[in-house]
Amino acid sequence: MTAAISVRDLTRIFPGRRGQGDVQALNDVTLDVARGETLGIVGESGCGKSTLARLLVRLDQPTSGSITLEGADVTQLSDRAFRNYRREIQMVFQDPYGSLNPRQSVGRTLGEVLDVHGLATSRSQRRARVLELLAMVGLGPYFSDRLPRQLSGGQMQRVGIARALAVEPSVLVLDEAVSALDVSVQAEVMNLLVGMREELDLTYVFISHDLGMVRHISDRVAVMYLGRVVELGSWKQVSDEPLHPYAEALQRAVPVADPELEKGEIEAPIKGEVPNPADPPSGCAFHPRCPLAERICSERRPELVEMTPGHSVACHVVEREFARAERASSPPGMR
Amino acid sequence: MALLEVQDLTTSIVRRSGSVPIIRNVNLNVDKGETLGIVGESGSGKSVTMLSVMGLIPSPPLAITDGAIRLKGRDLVGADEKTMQAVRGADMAMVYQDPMVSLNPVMRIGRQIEEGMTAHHVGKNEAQQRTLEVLGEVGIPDPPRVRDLYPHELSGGMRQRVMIASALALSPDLLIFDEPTTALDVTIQQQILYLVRELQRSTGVAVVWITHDLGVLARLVDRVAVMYGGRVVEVDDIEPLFSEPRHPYTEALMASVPGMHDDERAPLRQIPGSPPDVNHMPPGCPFQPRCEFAIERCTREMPPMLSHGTGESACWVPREEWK
Repeated sequence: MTAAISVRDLTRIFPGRRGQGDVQALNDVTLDVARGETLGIVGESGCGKSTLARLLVRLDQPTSGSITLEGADVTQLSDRAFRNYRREIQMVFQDPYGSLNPRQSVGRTLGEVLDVHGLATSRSQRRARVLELLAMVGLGPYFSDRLPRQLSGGQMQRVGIARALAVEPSVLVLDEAVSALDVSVQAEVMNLLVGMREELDLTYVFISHDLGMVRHISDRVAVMYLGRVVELGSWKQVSDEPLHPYAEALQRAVPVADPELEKGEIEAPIKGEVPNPADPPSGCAFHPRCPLAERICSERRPELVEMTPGHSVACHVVEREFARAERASSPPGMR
Repeated sequence: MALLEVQDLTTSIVRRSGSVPIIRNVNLNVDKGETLGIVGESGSGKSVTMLSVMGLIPSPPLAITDGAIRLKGRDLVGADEKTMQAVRGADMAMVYQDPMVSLNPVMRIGRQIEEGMTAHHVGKNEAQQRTLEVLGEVGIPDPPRVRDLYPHELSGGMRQRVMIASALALSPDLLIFDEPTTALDVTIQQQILYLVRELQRSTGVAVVWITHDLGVLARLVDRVAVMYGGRVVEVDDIEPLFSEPRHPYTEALMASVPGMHDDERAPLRQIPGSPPDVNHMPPGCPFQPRCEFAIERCTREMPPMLSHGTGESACWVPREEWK
C-alpha cells in the first residue's frame, strides 16, 4: 500500500485562555490514507476533525508530529518549500457561499487560482481550462459568467470543488462538504464526488458528522472523540459493527430513515455532553459518559489496538473482552 | 375535533404591485397528543406555515390572504394581537433551531422563563416555582443553580432544553418545533428526541416537528406532511409514507438519502433541477418540471389532494402508473 498521506502522532495544542488549561484539540493522531482511498472521519463537536483538516492543508501548524506527503514531512518545510506540495492537497469547505468572493464571477474565481499557481500561460488557455473544470463538475460553460448569488447551493458547492480541482491535486480534504446542502442536493454532490474519485484517481479525506454520508463514501472510517482516534476500520466494520462504546452510541443515535427499524421506544441516550477540551477527563476521555466504564478507564488511557484485521479500537473493556474470547477459543495446551 | 385545524391556508408576500403566495391551500390537522412531522427542503414553506399558525409571520410584507386556522375550535386568522398573545404560550408554543436567537443574552435564564409566565398573569412566586419545576422536567441538572446563569454559560444542548422548558411553562396543548436539533450533535439530538417523547407521555402534549431529516421523522413522528413549493403534496401515517409514497417528490426524497444498512452502496437518487422560486412558480404542479412521471395535465392543472387508505396526496399520476 502506498500511502498518499501519512500522519504520525499529530498533536495540536492551543494556548488556553486566562485561568484555563491549554486546549488539546488534537492528540497523537496516527493515520495513513492510501492512494485512491477515501478515509472518512466522523465525530461530534470538539473531536478535532476540523483541526485535523486544517493541519492537512497547512492552514495551521501542528504542535508536534508529522504529515508525510509525497515522501516529505511537510510540517518541517518552510512556506516557500511547501509551495511545491500545496498543489497536491486541496480543501473543499462546508459553506460554499462563504468561501467564494460574492463580487467575482465563477470564471474569474477559477481563473485566479490558475494564475496564482502559474497554470495558465495565455488567456485562451486559461479560458479553456476554466470551461474544462466546470464540465468536470457538471456545470455548463455559461456558468463561467455567473456570480455566486446566481447559483443554487448545489451549484455553488460544485464551483467549490472545481476550484479545489483547478491545481490538479491528488488529495481532496472535504470538510463537511455536503452538510449545509438540502437533502436532494447532497445526493447530487455525493454522486459527483464518487464519480470524480474514479475518473481522476483522487484520494479523499471525507470529514463529516453525518454517519450516513461517511458510510456511503468511505473505504475506511476513523471515529474521533475529544482529539483522539478511538476506532478505525473498514466502513462496514465501523458503521455496522462498531466496537468502541462511543462509536456504538453514535451509531445508535443516528436515526435511520426507515420506520420499520425505528419502531418502538426511542432508546435511552448516552448521558452528558462532550467534555471541555481544556480540562479533559483522566484516562479514557469518554469514561464519564461510557456505559461500560470501569475503574481502569479513569486511571489509564487506552491505546488504539488492532482487535480483528484492520479494525482498531482504543478501549480497555473491549480489549479485555477480545483477549478473553481468544483465550477461550484457543486449545487447552496452548494457554 | 382536531386540536389544530389548518384549512386552505395561503400566506403571501403582499406588495403594492400585487401579492405573491408563498404557501398555498395548506391543509393540516393535529390531534390531541399526536406528533405530526412537516418535512421539506429550503423554501418549501414548512416554517412559514407554522409561523402563520403562531401569528408570528413578519407582517408586512407577509399576510395570511386566505384560509382558516383553528386551535381548539377557535379561529385565529384575523384574531387581534392581544388574543394571539394570550394563545401563544398558554395554548401553543414554539421552539426554534437556534436558541441564541430566542434567548436574551443579558438576562438570566430563570427570569426569561418567568417573564413568559407573568405576561400571562401568573403570580411572581408561582412563576419562580414553576420555572424550577420545568427546568427539572427537561433534564437540566441543578435547576436552582442554572436558573441564575446567562444563556452563554450553557452548551447548545442545554440551551435547547431551556427553550423547551420555557415553551412548557404554561402547559400548552401544542408544541411546535422548528428544526430544533439541526445545529446539535447527534448524541445530543438523541437526548432531545428522548426528552420530547417522555414529555409527550407525561403531559399528553401534541407536537408539530419541522425537519428536513427523514431519519428524525421515522424515529419520532406518527404522521407526516410533505411540503414542496409552498404546498402540502402528501400526508400519510409514517409507515405507509415510507413504504409506499404516493407523491413522486416523496419517493425521490426517500431515495436520495444513503441507507444505513445496505451492503451495496449504489449511487444516490438525484432530483434533477432545483426547487422553484416563489416569484417564478411553474404552472400546474410545482414539482412537475423536476418530475420524471409528469404528464401534460401536470403542466396545466394543480392536482387536488385525493384520499387513499391512510393518507392523501396531490398527483395526477397514480403510483401504479409510475414507470
